[in-house]
Amino acid sequence: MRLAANSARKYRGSYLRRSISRKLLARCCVVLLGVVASVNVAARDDRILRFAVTTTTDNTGLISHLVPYFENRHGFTVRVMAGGTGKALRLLVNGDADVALTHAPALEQPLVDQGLVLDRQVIMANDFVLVGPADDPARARTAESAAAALAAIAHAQRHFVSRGDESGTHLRERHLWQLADVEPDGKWYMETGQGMGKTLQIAGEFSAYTLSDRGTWLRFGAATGLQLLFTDPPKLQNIYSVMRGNPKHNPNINERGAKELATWLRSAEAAALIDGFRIDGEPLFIPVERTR
Amino acid sequence: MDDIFTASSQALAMLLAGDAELWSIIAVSLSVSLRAILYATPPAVGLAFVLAYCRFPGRRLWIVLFNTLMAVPAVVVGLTVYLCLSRNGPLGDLRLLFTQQAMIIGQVILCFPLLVAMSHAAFQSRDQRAWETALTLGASPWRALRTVIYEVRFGLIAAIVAAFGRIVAEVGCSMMVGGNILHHTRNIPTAIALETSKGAFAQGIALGAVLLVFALSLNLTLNVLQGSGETHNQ
Repeated sequence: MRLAANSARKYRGSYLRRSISRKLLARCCVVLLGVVASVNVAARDDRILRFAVTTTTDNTGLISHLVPYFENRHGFTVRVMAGGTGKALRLLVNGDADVALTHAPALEQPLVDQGLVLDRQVIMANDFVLVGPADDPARARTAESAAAALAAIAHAQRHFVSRGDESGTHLRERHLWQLADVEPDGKWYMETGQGMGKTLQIAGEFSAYTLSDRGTWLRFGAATGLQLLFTDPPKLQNIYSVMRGNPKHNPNINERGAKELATWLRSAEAAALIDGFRIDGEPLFIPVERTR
Repeated sequence: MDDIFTASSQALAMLLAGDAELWSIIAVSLSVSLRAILYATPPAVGLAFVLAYCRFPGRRLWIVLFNTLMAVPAVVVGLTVYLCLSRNGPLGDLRLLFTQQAMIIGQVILCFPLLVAMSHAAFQSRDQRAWETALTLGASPWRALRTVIYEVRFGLIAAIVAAFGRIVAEVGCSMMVGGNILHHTRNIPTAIALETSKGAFAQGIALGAVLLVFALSLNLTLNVLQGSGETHNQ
């Protein structure tokens, strides 16, 4: 008897499971259809913004700190694409991004002059810092200038890890090598081709020197075992600007959204958020009002 | 479209002109993957032989295990090797992270299960009496093993080619444990992945073409060998 009851229960159980799984299947189909439909709608939606940013702003977490506020307040969905400044600008010029946040004035200005990008505005700044092993075998700590520090590293043939990715940081580093009158080459000079966070990590593994922006250094520095060796805030200033693509060249650009995001990034609200984005009380980026 | 054509012709020009950076990347790829295959093949074939010819408890479990391991994603292998080799990891003192040695370790782990599974299949597909006959004819076990390996050489070559194909085109693990350092650990897949982000499309295309040529020549070799293998049997 008990056996029969058990098997009946089992049978009912399996029947129940089957009907549940059918319902589940039906529901999944509905959800899937919904997703497909919404993606289709989204593709035509002008509430989607493509935002190309540098890895320094993305790796630090600043972008994921700022973007949700903008999305909530203005009702846009922002798709963030992180890459070196060179890549971000290329995305913008090719019409693959609507807005860009980059930090290489020397690359940005020519694009503005050619009318390829519009409304370039400085929104925040920090500075580049030279970091390296605590024992500082090349004695970069006591150098008179950043260029002299690099020259000392090259002279000592100590490992130096370069971004090597045409990013704003990489451009500044190359500029400093020029000032130092050194053509960095050889086993000691290593190019990673990757973002600032990864580059700091690699420098840490090799006990190597590297040039970083202060924001990413504050975020990742502690884990690398490296130390801040040389800073020179006025001379090593790192300026971040926002700009939008030119709809004349790329008609598919979301012009209204781009204008709104660019304006918002210069607003007092955004400045307060940027200023409030700190690690151990130290700001990673300083909004433009305070740098003026 | 213009972009594609200009970049492709630039790519061809770079390859023909012997662009130093490009060829250093190709050299890193080949040297790392060939060394990985070299280290992985003997133990893998040995293990496959044991799995095919010896009877011991848990044998089938091992076979299932290696078949399953073939499917482990490269990034998971990369993460594991990374955690072991990083400064704070158990093998951190060896200072191997972001070196070619680290890449070789990752690639050996990646291709080992594939080598074992395919070699095992090759050993099993042949008549096991070859081994016994060789032994009865007075061959030493070592000599008999060589005979058996010679019997299944085509299957083993197929296994090696497949394993090489898997690791030479693999990007996830190489990127994580190698770090894509130029002249040091930048190989073809990591270069394509990251140089393209710089807009260096020509280099990406050139390297992609080299990978395709590798794949093509490997498969052609395999095809020719297997073809001759069949006639040999008849």
